[in-house]
Amino acid sequence: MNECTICKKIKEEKEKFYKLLNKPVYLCKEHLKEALLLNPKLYQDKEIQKEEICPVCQLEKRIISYYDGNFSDLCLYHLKYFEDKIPENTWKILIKEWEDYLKHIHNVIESYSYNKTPLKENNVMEILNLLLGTGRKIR
Amino acid sequence: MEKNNKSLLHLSWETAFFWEGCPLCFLVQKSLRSYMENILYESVNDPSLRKEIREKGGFCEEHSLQLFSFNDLLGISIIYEDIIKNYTLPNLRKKIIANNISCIFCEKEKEYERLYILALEEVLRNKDSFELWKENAYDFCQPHKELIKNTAPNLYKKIEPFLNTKKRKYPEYIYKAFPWDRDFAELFLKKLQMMRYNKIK
Repeated sequence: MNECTICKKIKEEKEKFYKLLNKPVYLCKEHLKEALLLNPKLYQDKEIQKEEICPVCQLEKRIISYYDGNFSDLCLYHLKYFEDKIPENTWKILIKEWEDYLKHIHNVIESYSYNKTPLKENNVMEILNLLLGTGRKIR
Repeated sequence: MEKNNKSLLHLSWETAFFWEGCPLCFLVQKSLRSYMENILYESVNDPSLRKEIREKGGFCEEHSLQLFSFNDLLGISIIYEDIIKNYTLPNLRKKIIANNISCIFCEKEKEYERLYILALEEVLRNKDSFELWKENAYDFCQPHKELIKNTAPNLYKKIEPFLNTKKRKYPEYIYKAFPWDRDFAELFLKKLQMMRYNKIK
């Protein structure tokens, strides 16, 4: 199962950004939580003034705007940005993919039935990352 | 149910005054996490709840991630199978990438905030509880201060003179607490029990 190309790129760039931070800068709540995971002491009990622009939000927007690859390599969250540009063929691929993901999740649920063993290897979280765009999150 | 003529809500608030952070965040996060746990373990197949989740297009990102932190693969799979089958796919067939419309957990969070703020007005009428709040409680986070000001202006007038001298937990003071990805209340309550037990001894 492939990762969303944009999610992967965003995650990589964010990790670099957070690790290189050497003084607390304003970040929005979502990105501050990630920064704390990688650089906890930087923000501990430090007062930060709320500002209008989060640099990591800007970074994510830039990465999305520079994307010129295949739409079928993207999660639904990022695909939304290109919704009006998606060609007919890609819609068909998407529908087929999501029908397959649905079957897989159904199989995972079925594996919890009486006298069956839950599937150890399952891709439920990967599928949900493709649904919600959460592959870009550091967690 | 009452203990020493104090309601459960009252007692919950008094406990929250010992939390090292915004006491309202503590109560709301604790309640929300219980609510999520209840859904996953008891209500995942409740038809009316599932209908509501479907019609709202799932959950917001923040609360989806919080739900994943329970590591309940079966419960999460059941809910999301429904969302993908009955919301995502039908929209894809219409060439629409459907977003979440509204989130039941966001709505619940607002309900809890209101409930606890209105209860606090009553709690702080009790002289001992007011002293307990003054002495122990951390400052409310900025978003909750604003909410208290708008929801219960008389309450805000009463507490405002004491807020500037209170301790603050950063960075949560600016944004509200981050969604709990584990049950912080359980450990905290055990610690509190130990402290009270040692005090009695």
